[in-house]
Amino acid sequence: MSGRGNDQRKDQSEVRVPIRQLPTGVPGLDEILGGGLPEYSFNIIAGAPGCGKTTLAHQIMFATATPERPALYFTVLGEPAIKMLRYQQQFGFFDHATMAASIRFINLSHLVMEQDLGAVLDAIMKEIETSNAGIVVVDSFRTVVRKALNGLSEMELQGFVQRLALHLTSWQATTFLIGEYVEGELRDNPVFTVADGLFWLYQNVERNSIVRKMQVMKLRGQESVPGMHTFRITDAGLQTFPRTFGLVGQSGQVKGQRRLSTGVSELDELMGGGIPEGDSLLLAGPSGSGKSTLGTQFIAEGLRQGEPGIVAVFEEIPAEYAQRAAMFGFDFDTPQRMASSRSSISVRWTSPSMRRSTRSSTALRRSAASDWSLTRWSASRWRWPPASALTSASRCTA
Amino acid sequence: MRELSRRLLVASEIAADRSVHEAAVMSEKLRIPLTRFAGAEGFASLLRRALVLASVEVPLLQSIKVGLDGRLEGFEELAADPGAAVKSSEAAVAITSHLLGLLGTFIGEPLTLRLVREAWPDTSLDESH
Ligand SMILES: Nc1ncnc2c1ncn2[C@@H]1O[C@H](COP(=O)(O)OP(=O)(O)OP(=O)(O)O)[C@@H](O)[C@H]1O
Ligand SMILES: [Mg+2]
Repeated sequence: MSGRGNDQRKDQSEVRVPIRQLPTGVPGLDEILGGGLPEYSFNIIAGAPGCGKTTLAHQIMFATATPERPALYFTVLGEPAIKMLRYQQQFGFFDHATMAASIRFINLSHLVMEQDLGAVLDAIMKEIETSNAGIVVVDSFRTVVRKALNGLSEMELQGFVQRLALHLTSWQATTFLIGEYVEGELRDNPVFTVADGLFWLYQNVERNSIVRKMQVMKLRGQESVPGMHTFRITDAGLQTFPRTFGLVGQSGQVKGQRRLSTGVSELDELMGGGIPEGDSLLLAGPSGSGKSTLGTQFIAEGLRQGEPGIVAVFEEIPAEYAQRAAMFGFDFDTPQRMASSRSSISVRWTSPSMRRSTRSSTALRRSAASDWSLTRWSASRWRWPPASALTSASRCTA
Repeated sequence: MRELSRRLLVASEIAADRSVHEAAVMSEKLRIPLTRFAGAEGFASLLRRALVLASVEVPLLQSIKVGLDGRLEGFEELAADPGAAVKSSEAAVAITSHLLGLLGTFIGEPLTLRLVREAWPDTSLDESH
């Protein structure tokens, strides 16, 4: 009996319809989404003004649009296309060749202001039918809804959104509706109910810093990583730092099979041979008690044994750190110039805005995992990075 | 943009007829792709600005207005003026080049040329032609 049950289960997975996942072009986002953007999905990008909605939509559009399946960008009131393109072309992902061959901007303001939702739907569908669009963005959809709510019942609005979603999916388009929403509006919103994917962007003040965060509130058909993911906007566009540090599906190495020397033989002896490889170690003590010095010795010992290391410095610049090490007779300058060699170190200064955020530990973890099989860590006087970030590093003192 | 505007004017092959002003034909050609891109109001406001800039060079344009639908109005009154006919091409080039110049300032030349291509699909924008 149970054998037949297994066979049946196998059959199920063979006949299951595959959902292709589109790469978003946003570093880290595919991982957050659980592989990529589900093709033909109907999504909403929500968040307060200035949180990065338009930029996110552009970045995805530039990564996915092709001449055969171009992207249509409908602008509705809000930011006019002329300004949007003026600003968006400052980002590194903006490619003029893609723009010319695969992206079209269409202004719907007059329709939304002067006509009913039926005319808006017709106009959108006509453009999609003639262009064979694969990606559709409406920015901002909130203005469409606002207009609709003047005189329309919620049912009628839901009907409109439902029809829009239905038609867009039939025409094999992956869609993003953009809206300036605040969190309180999440409940009972007919637009959110219809959507397959709901991406919420935040911009919070933490102490004196601004921290941008993103949450995938729903994504039908696949398992996305729940929770808040830090992201930043730079000249290159959005970059996300998944809460899972890129460790999803990684088994990690078995810890503690080897002992790593601290560089202080008496201490090694006390510890039964040194620090178990893969462990995270917290070095605590009052100011001036020698925590940084021990960390420096740990790194120097690694260099002596041909093991590369990373030093995350919070309160000094790298040159100062190397100078201090030189006072103990350790040369940290030469190894820093030999970036990819086995006996190299990377001394990184971490800016105050990076502190206490997942993105700095992810960035460091990446450099540790890239080509170095063994990494020594020394992060001075900080409750950071979290142990989970360090499973790829062999040694850790924090 | 001036040289490009001149070539576009030639390519438009506008018949020498007092009743149609070349500037009106040129701006009408741009109106359709630009309205689609920037909206009717967006186009009208750019055209209004271009008209003011062009009037400095070609003063007879001072009597021309931009209608609500984004069309240039007031050419009928000019039709009687023999001087206006002489300046017709100059006015068309001035308005077109200022309009394209404004677009170029805001969205850059590649995107501007793309919109021009939509307005004159059969005209090569290549310098050598
Ligand atoms: N080069 C850059 N480096 C860093 N941050 C940038 C850069 N360019 C833009 N930004 C940030 O991106 C923000 C704009 O993002 P975007 O226009 O995508 O927001 P939005 O959510 O669409 O806003 P709105 O609701 O107003 O349309 C700016 O406020 C700025 O903080
Ligand atoms: Mg926006």
